[in-house]
Formats: sequence, structure tokens, C-alpha cells
Amino acid sequence: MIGVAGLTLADTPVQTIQAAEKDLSGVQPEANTVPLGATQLAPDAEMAKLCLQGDRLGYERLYGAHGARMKSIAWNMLRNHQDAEDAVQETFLKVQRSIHTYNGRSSFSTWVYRVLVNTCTDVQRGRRRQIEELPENITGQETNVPLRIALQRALGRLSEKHRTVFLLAEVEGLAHSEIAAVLDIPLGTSKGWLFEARRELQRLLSEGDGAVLRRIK
Amino acid sequence: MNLDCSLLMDALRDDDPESLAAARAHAASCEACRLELQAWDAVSLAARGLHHEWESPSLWDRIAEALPARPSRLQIGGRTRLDWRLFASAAAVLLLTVASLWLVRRSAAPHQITAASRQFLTEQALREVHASEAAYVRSIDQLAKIAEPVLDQSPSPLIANYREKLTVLDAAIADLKDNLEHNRLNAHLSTELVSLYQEKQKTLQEVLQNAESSN
Repeated sequence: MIGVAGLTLADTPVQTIQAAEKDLSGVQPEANTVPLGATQLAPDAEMAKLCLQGDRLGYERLYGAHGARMKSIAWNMLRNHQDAEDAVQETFLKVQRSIHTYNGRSSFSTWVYRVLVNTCTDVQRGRRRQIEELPENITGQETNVPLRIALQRALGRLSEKHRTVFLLAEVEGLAHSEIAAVLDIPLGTSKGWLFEARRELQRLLSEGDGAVLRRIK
Repeated sequence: MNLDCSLLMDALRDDDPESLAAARAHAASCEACRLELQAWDAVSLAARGLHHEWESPSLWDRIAEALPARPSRLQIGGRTRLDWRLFASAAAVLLLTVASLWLVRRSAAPHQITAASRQFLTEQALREVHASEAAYVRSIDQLAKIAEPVLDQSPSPLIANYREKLTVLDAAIADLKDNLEHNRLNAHLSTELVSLYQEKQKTLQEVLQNAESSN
């Protein structure tokens, strides 16, 4: 009943209704924007609802659906397994603490990835542990191992913004619209940074004694 | 879409399927561009190999242990930190209103105030509050009806996100209303409910503004 303070007539959306009472049939769909896991909107909404309610099940589902990818992003940003796991754990705590700031403008999982990237950036700035090399047999994919190792080292020479965009796009397979939401940048900026990152990586991989890319060409 | 060597980099920068398809079609008959694309693809392929998964059998247990149990049952909408202030303000307003009404009644008929009439005043205030609340909810429902075609038909991911948020809000509103049914005088729950309605109103307004600006 105390909530009556918020129930004054001044708050009724009459003006908005009047303003909106016109033909909206010409609404055009937005181009080039597909939210993270667009096909997973329902589970995303369900997870968000549970997390909003403080239900641990929501966090458990979040971990089940995105934990592996979160660990991979954290590992590629921090290059240390312990730091990566700590960052994922810290991300869950931050998500719980700040769930009320989730405004629904991006999908819930995109918002969580944003928290994760920010957490990893903070860890990078105050890091203590040693950088680890990627084990050679981790993925089971038939990739060019020397190129992969050289790429991993070259990534360390990129600027933070280029490295992060490259990791999200090329390593984790996020779409530009998702990256734009995670990093809070325009979609065109995401494309531009990825292009610059790839050009710089190609340059780094084509020069010097390694020159693994020159051999491919 | 036709493409020549000078536009290869533009196509790679655009990074959309159509541009890339045009670049590949061109590269099929151009050795320099073919090598460029080959190196480009090699980096992409190698990058996919950097995705790294490993077993962490105890990680979820650590996270679950660190998550406080159900701390934010009533944090929906982010008002918790302000709750005590809202509660205090609202309680003060209510107290002043009831006191004023009581004084007015007393001065009008000083010898006729009985326990029954005080009860009547409280009931009357409650009825007025509920009438205001019902009007407010009706106006939001009206707003929701106007926004419904946009929410149902727009393929925009932004609208999909709004839809998702509204689903969450509706569920939370239903939940709180259910709780209020069992505890009608709980001021804290009422405040939360108002906050959720305001958030829903704001969200619907954003949906309509977005649709309008897309026109």
C-alpha cells in the first residue's frame, strides 16, 4: 500500500498511448543484428527470470549453457587456467550482484559475456600468474599447429581492443552484432577493429624468422 | 556483385556473406587475390583452434558455494538499495495522509470519531489506493495492446530483447501480485510492484519509440 506514492495519475502513460495511436505497420526490421544465441531466446529469458528471482537454478543453467565458452574466452584473455576459472567465478558473483542493472537491451547471455570481458580486463591489469602456452592437443581439430602457436603469440602483440574483437569473432564465433553488444561499440566499429586485427596478424605472421603465413602463400 | 582486386580489402572489411562470396568468386580467377584469401582463411582456421575447453569438475561447486542463497528475491528492478528510503518516504506520506484525514474528520465532528469511523477512513483510503492502482494498470494494459503488433511481428533482435524483458517483468509482476494476495498490507511488496509496473511502462514506451523511429 505504501507504493501508492508511485501510483499517481501523473505516471499513467496516457500521453504515450495517444502518441502511439498511429499506424505502426511500416516498422522495418533492423539489419545486421542477431542477438547472441538468437535461437535460444526462450532459455535466455528463462535464465534471466530465474536469476532475477535469485534462484540458483538460473545460474546453474547459465553455467551449463555458457560455462565452457566463458572459460575459453577467459583463458584466451588471461592465458592461465586458474585465472580463467577465477574470472568465470567472479563473473557469476558480479552477475548476481548487478542483475538488477540488466536492462534487456541485449540478450541475457550477451550481457553476461560483457561482464566476463570486463572482469578479465580487470584481472589483466592486476595480474600475478604466469602466461601459459596452449597445449598442442587441446582441440582435436586438424589445424596447422605451428600457425596456431604463432597466432597465439602474435595475438599477444595486438592492442587490447583488437585482440578482444578477434578472440570473440574468430575464436569464439560471435557475430558482429553480439560483439558490438558485449563491448558496447557500434557494429561498424566491430567490423573495422576485426579487419585491422586480421591485417596486423597477417603482417606479424608474415615477417621475421617464423613467417608461417608466408609459407602458406 | 562483381568485384576487382582493388575492392578485395573492402569486401574483407565488410565481412558480410555477400561481399565475401563476391571476393571468392573473383579470387577463383585471380592468383594474387586467391593467395590473399588463402592466408586470410588460414588465420581464421588457426583461430578456431584457439578455442580451449577443459574439465573443471569443481568450478560449478565453487561458484554455487560463493553465490549467496536467494539473496535477491525482492531485488527485481534494482530498487533494493533504495528500498529502505522508499519505504521510509512512503511510510511518512501514508502517516501524514492518515493523520491529516483524521484531523479533518475530528475538527468537523470532534465528538463523533469512533473506532468504527477510523476503520472506515482506513478502508476508504485503501479503496482509493486500489482504484488508482487499477486505473494505472489498465492504462499500462492499453499501452501493451498498442505495442503488441510491434512485439509480435517485428523480427528485430532489439524488439526480441524487449519481448524477453517484458516476459520477465510480467512473470515477476505475477509473482509479486500472488505474494500480495496473501499479505495485502505489506508495504515493501507494494513498492516493488509499483517499481515493476513503472519499468514495464518505460519498456513499452521504448518499444513504441523504437518502432516509431524505425518508420
